[in-house]
Amino acid sequence: MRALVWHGKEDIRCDSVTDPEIEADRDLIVKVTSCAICGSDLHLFHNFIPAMLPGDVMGHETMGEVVETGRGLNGKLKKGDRVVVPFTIVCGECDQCKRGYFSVCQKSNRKKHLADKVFGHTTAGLFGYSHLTGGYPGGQAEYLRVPFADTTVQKVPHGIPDEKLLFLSDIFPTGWQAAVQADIQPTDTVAIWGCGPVGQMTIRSAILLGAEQVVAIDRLPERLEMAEAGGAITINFEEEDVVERLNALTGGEGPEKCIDCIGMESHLSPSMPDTVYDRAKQVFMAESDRPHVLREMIYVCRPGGLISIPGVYGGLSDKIPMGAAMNKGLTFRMGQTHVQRWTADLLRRIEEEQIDPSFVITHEVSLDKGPEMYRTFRDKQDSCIKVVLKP
Amino acid sequence: MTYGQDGFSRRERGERAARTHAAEDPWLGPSRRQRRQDASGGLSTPGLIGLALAAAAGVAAIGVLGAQRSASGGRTGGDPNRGSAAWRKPEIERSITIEDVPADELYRRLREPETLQRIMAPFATVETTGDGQTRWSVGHDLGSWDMRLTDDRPGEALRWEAQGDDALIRDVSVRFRAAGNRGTVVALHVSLDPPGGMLGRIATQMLGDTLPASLASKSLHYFKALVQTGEIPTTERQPAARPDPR
Repeated sequence: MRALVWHGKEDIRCDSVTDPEIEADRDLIVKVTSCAICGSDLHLFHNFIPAMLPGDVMGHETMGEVVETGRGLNGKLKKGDRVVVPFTIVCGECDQCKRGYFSVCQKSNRKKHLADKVFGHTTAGLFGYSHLTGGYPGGQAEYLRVPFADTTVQKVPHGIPDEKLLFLSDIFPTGWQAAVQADIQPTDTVAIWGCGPVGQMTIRSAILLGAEQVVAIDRLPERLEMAEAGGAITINFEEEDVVERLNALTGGEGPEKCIDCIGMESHLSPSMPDTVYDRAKQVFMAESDRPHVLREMIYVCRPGGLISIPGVYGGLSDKIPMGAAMNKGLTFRMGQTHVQRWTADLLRRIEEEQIDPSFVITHEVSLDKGPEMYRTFRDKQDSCIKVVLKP
Repeated sequence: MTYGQDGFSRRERGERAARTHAAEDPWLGPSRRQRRQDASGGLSTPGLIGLALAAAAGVAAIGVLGAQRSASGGRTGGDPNRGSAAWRKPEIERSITIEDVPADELYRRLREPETLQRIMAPFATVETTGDGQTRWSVGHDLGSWDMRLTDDRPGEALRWEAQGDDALIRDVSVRFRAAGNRGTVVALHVSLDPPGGMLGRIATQMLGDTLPASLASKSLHYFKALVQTGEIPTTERQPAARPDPR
C-alpha cells in the first residue's frame, strides 16, 4: 500500500509499504477514506520528538471503512462499518481507562519501557507518533490496523461527509477538552494562544460553552479572520502587545482562563527575545522546548485563574515563572486528549448541527501530495490551515 | 542622529540630564543613595523614572541599538508613526475594574480637585487654578504647565489637555464603562512628551513604556483604593530600621 513515511528531519516521502494484517483478536483493518496532517505532526517533521525511526508511517487523524475484523470483537464492529479512529489507542480495561484517563492507558503502549524511562510512567499508545508511544504505524496510508478496536474507534453513521466527521479523531475533541477542562463560567474571558486547527476548535468550543468573551492570538491574517468568524476578538501579536491588550479587554484584571494551543514550538522572533534564547539552547541540546506562550500566559492570567494546555510539549522547558504561577494561585490542566471521553457527545453535536468542524479545511489533496503538503502547512504558504489527504 | 526635536545639542542634553540626575522630584527621582534604600524598601516609581533618565543621559550607544531594534522588530507593524519607534511619543493606557461603584460616582469623585491631586501624585503635583484649569508641576528643573479640562461628560469621560509647548504630559484622559454586574472599568490614557528630547524618547522606547505604564497603574490603584476605602495605602509612616521607611 501507499503511505507517508518518515525518513528523518524534514524528510517525509510517499512510499510503498507492506499492507497491515490482523495481529490480535480485537484488531480491525480500516480502509482509509480520509486522513489529515496535524500540527503535532510538524513536531515529528522537525524531529523534536525523540524515538522516531526511519521507515515509520505517519498520521493520527484517520477515518474509513472496516474491511477486516479480528475474532474477538464479538460483533461490535463488522465489515462495511464506517469508523473514525481517535489518535489514542485504548484498551478499555486497565485502571486508567476505567477512570476515563484514556490518553494514559496502561496497556496500549507496546514500548512501555521507553515511556517509563522518559516520562516516569507510560502513556497510551498513539498512532504514528514515535516509539515513545508504542511505535504504531499511522493512518496517513491506504490501510490502518487498529488494535483494541472495540474500545478505540468511534462508529459513525453513513450519510454525513467525511469532512464533518474526520476531526473527531483529534483536533475537535482536543479543542473541546481544552475548553472543558478550563471550567468556563459565563463571566469568564478566555484567551487562546494560537489559531491553528486546534486553536480554531478551542475558540468554537469556548463559545459553545458560554464564555463571556473569547480572545484569540496569532499573527497570520487568514487564521485571525477564521477566529473572528468563529466569534473571537483577535490580537495580532506582531502588531500589538498581547499582555497590554488582554489587560485592556478585562478592565486590568487579566483573562480568567488561558489556553495554550501552540506548545513546544513558539514562533521565533527577535521582538520576543526569550524565543531566541530558547532556540539557542535547543541548538546546543540544553532545552527541548520553546515555552514563550507558557511564560506569557502565567504573567497575564488573572490571579486564581486557570491555564489549560492542549499544545504539545516534548521534553524540558526553561525559565518558567513558577514564582508568578504559585503566588497568583494558578491551576494548570494539561494532557493528551482523552478522545474517547468526548467522541460520542461531539458526534451528536455534529449531527445536531451545533457545529460543523469542516470549516477549518483549506486544502484537500491526494495522499501522494502529502510530502509537499507538510511543507506548505509548516510554512503557512497558500493560507494553509488544515490539510485533508485522500488515499 | 544629530539633534533632538527640542533643539538641544548632544552636549547640552548631556548636561541637562546630568543636572536632573541629582535632583529630587516626582519625575527625576531621589538621589542615588535614596534609590538604593528604595530597592529594599519597596518600589519607588520616581526612582524608576530617575533611572530611565540616567539611561537616557549615559548610554546613547545602547539607544542606537534600541532604535535599530524598534525599526527592525516585528511589533512596529504597518503604522507609519510606529515605523521608527524612537520618534513615537509614548502613549500608555491602563485599566482597572472597580467593584460596586457606579460610573457616575467615580466621575463625581474624579471631578473633586483633591481626588485628582492625590491620584495624579505619581505623575505630577496638580493644583487647581479655577475654571477647569489645573497647573501641573514636576519639579523646578522640568517646570510646570497648565492643563485644561477639554472633555467633561458625566459618567463617561474626562480629558485634560496641556496648554503650550513645555508640557511633559500632553494629555490625560479617563473613560468609564460598566463591566457587567461586576462594577466599572476605569481606563486611564496618558500621552507623554518625555524630557531629554530624542534621547529621552529612545530611553522610554527601550524600556517599552514600562515606567510610565507603572505610573498609570499606580494612579489607578490609588483611585480605586480612595473611592473604596477612603484612603490610599502607604508604608510611609511604619517603623523600619532604615532612615526612610518606605
